[in-house]
Amino acid sequence: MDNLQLLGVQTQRVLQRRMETAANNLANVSTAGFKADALLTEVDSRRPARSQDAPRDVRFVRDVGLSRDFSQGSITRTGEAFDVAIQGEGFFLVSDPQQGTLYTRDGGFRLDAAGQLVTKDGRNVLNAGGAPIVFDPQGERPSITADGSIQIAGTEVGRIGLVNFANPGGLEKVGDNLFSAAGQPTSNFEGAAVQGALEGSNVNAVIELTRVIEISRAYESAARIVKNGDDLRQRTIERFGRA
Amino acid sequence: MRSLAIAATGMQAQQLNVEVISNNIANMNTTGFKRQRAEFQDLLYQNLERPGTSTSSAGTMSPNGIQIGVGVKAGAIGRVTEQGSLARTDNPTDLAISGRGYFQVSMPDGTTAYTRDGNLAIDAEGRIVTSDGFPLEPAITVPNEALSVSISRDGVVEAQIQGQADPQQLGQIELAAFVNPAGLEAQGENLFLETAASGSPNVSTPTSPGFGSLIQGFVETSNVNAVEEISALIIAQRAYEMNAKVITASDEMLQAANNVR
Repeated sequence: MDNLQLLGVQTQRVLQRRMETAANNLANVSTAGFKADALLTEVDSRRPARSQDAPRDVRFVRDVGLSRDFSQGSITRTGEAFDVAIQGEGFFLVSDPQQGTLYTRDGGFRLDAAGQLVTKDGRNVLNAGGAPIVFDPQGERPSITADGSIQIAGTEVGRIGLVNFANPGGLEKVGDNLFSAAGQPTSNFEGAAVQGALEGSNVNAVIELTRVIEISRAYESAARIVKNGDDLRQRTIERFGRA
Repeated sequence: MRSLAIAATGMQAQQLNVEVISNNIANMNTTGFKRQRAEFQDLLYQNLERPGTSTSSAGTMSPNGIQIGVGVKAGAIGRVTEQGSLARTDNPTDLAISGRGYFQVSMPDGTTAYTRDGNLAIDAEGRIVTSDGFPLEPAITVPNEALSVSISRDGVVEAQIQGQADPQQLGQIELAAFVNPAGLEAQGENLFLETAASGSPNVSTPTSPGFGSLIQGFVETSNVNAVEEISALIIAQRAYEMNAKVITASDEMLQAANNVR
């Protein structure tokens, strides 16, 4: 196969991945605390495609990584005492039996039968010291202040763990609205916790949808390149075959 | 082509969302109804290139990696236990709970169900029953010769009997509270059952610490907010269409790939 087709195929491969990323963003347009992904592509400098006679270098496109958009999702009021949204940067701490401490922006918490604060799939939400948060089942409904302090009748009874990361882009998504981190978080939380509200997904549906259309058309163009390359070769064979 | 399957999970999720919203709207006028909300979570991610993979012999590494998510799933359908507004009915056997707690109802099979629906009535035997005829627990019987029944904020039921100056005390209504009321299992007919997630009930008289009070002649209306639900419906419908659009676009891509040869 010659360059034209290899280039076309590689472009199609990258476009397909971009499509998958956009599809996942759109599928999660109603997921609380979801952060949109975008596939980063670059011109591959390490593996130049061969071009002996062309005036310019021909290079492959390559997907190098993800850029994760950590911008604020819209905050909607829910009226539930244990719904907490983060305004600004920061994450809640969640403990997972297998994976240790994980991080989330989805503050749709609730109490389990033992009075512990848990996520919607039952994982413990941790306090600033890394221990589960337990409420007195018969007690009054607590109020949660902007810095995560849990207060009942004006006295602090605990503090929701809120952390920050120097490079949130390095966090890995593990599903269930959770992130895992390779490094340690910093405790200088600069956002604000909002009780009775949830942060929605930060996916911008219009942009994602335009991207879907653009990717689909670009894919068609790439397919046409492959086809043109094929036609060209066929004609070459015919012509030389006749001679 | 993973994007076809990814968009399909998105469409399923939005369909569930519309189902939950339509049930809320259908129960807009159901006494004591608590609205539900569908909560979503992203599915697992496929790590095509882990963050920290080396990208050159000089020791540089990929700061972000490449993760492709495979869509969305319903994490939970939560019940929002926010107080509904109280509507005046002037019916002496209508009771609204202002604050925490559930009425206890004895079911025909001997179990106890819980409800916030205070549309009560007196049956042929004089018992205080729900609109389906299930008696309250503890049972309270109103004598035939009672002229009127009054129920205090803390649940004491008294009747004015003809020919007696002082009202006669008939019984005490008790409420059950749960650690996690959102974990109760809805049974239909405005009734809920205890589950492992809700915790066991804590029974006490109204107005004791951690319990709401009773208001006679009122009912608690549904806490569904029509405007909120309709706007959520519009958002869900558009999100469904967007995911359908992804399927169309992915289909066109596959078609283009097929047309190569």
